[in-house]
Amino acid sequence: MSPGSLADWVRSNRSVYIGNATTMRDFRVQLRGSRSVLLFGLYLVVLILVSFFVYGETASRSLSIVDAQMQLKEFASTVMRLLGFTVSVVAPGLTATTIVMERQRQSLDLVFSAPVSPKYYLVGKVMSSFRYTWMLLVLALPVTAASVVIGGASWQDVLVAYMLLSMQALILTAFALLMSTIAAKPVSAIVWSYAASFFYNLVAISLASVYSLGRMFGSFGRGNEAPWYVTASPFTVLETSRTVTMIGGHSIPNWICFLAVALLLCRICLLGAGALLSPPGGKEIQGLRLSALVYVFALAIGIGWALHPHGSAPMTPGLGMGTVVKAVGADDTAALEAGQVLALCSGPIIVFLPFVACFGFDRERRYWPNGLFSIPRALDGTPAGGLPFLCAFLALFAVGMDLGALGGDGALLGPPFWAFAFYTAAFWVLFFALGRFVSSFFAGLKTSRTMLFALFLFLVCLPFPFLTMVTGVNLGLESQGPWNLYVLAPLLSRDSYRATYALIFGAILLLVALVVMLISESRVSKRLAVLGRTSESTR
Amino acid sequence: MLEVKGLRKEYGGLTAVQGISFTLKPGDIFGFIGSNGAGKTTTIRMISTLLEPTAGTAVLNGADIRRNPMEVRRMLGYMPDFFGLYDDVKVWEYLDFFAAIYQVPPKKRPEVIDSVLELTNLTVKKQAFVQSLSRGMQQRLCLARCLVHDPALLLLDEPASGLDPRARAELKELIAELGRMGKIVIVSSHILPELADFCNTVGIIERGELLAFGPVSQIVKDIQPHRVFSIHMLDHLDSASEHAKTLPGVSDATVAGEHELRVEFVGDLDDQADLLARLIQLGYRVTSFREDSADLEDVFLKLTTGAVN
Repeated sequence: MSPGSLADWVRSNRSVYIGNATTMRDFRVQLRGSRSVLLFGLYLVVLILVSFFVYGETASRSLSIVDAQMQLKEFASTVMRLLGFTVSVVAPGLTATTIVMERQRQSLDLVFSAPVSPKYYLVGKVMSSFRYTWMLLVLALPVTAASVVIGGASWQDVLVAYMLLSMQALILTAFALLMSTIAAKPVSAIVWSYAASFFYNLVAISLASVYSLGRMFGSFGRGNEAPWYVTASPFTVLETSRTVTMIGGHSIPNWICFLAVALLLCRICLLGAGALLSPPGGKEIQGLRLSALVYVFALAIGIGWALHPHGSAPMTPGLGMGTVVKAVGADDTAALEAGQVLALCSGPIIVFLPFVACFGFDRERRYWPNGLFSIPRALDGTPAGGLPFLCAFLALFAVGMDLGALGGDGALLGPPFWAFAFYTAAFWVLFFALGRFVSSFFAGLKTSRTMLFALFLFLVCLPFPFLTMVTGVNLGLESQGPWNLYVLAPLLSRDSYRATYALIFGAILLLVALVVMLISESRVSKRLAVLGRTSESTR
Repeated sequence: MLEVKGLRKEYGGLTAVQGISFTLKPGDIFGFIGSNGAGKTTTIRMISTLLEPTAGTAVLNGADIRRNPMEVRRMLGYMPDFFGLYDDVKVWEYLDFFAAIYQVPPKKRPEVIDSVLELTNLTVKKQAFVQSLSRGMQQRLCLARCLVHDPALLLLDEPASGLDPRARAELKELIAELGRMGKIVIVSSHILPELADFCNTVGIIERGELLAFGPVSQIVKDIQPHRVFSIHMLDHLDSASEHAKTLPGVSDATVAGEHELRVEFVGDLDDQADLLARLIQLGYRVTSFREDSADLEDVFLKLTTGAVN
């Protein structure tokens, strides 16, 4: 990078993060008049009242010193949980309507007719919402300081807990901003933002609970050692503030790991929102796709490493198809389980697949068919790049897991893993093909995306309760029954031959995908012929 | 200088704009005329870089809208046919926000805000909330917003819609003043007589096709090459018509009504004076003699069919 371009980069980033006009305008509005003072006052009164109530409960009884210490710790935890609740409620609520309201007010056009990048605008929005939430946290400092004074927590605990709460607020703000960009109406933006907040808390609390139970039964970590994700829950910040993760023999405080994860999540959400606000082929969509590939590769290495820690049983070497049937009949359980984990972890693809596979019109935005498979377009967000991107994503996921396993126990995963990787790829290629098929009706982009999601529910989610009602849960593929026809059968099975079934299912799914793709491409070609153009001329 | 080169926009099967080309120079006030759905707004949005053209481009002072949109945005002010105003924001704060995103240095902003408020006659409303302004004032505020960064090109999409006659007259004067300041102004409007008043160039668009482009007088002349006189007389119109055809400068004369004779005329002022004098001399009882000059509305109606995309 030359000094000139470095200076430009510094200048442009400084304008994004320091003195951002969007932040300043929003902040002026947020703090205008007596409304904000009243809200802050009310918030403090509630916080103080609850603290008094909890402390009163503690102080009114005569306790031993040990019990009193426990109660004071509980008091400090309660105050922090209250702040966690505030963050979970305020951050999404404050951000959910920011973009969707601008779109309704039609002021987005005014902003984007100025020399403003989506990054500048979105970072400004995040900062204005985040700053308000952070003010609420700072306002609560006297109450949390009380728990330090009376001995429930140390200053270090409180500061780290504040750091964790801030990061959680940042994640929820970024989620809400993404929802606000996707949603067409403010009400749906609010609903989706709170749904995302609820889902995040549910996952974070579940992970923290699993860890707590593990600790209770003595099977999970020693001392302060804990996986980094325990710090993700806003309701246990004080309890997890001192936890550390051992990496390469060094203990890394978990708040540092969580800080990195929070910033990455925030970046992904902002890139997603930026891609939605910028025209196809914009640098935001390229950045988003590139980041997705890099992160999924890193995540896959982490998963592979975690599943195959140093010293676990060696895997069956060899990747040739001839060894598959033999190997799956053998006891290559680790590779089988890694394959099933790969398939399961690919589940979130359904969230972004409709955005990758479908084409059509969305108001003035044009996602018009420009071919089925074009590697140069893999990152530009056009329909022709969808399939190469999906393939690259899945390939990096599988290779990353294999490399992770290699780093963990020094051996590559065997053919059963790759049989499941093939099945996973075929499964998602089928849904990609279905996305192309529903788009070939040219009923609009949103309709196509909704139809693809509905098809996923219909083919993947609904059969499970239906088959359970009809035959009970009988996932053994060796037994005859309707479960053998279920698209997720190889994934849910515990049979020793499930890798072979994964291969067979994969081949069938791929064949169906190819047929569906051929039909949809034929429909698209006919439609374009009616309109008097080829798919290439539409770009 | 703005050069629009073969600008085209397709939405699937629909061609909204069919390869429009024109050139405007500083000081030009260009009236963009067309029915609803003719492609005016699409063209303006493409020039403003908000919409990606399917083909063609536009170059503003050397900056291409496709290759260098950020540079183009720095040089243009876009005023859509809606206000897009923020609630709970004061007039100066609204302008300060746009001055900031147009990268006006912080120290210069108060001065810039004061000057655009003065230009748009909104100085007294500096501390008012934008939602408390009248429609005309909001429209002027939008124009002030477009001017904070001193743009070379102004794109005004239906700026006079919904304004009362006084506000419209004020806006017209303001746009004329901007033209005198050397800015290129593109105004789309339905109110044709008003456009003719202050636009030195007009373009008529229908179904995405630019049917006519040039100075108003030239376009009128193109569509009506001869001058036309409407002569009212009490009787003997048929014989007057025959007589008129023999007079110098008269290319054709037809009876247009019970008392009206329409004369197509190619002569000079002497011939015009002689025409009237001769008709009276011949005993025709003339009650009125006036030139029927075509205006922009006539041109528009004659060129367009009313078809929309």
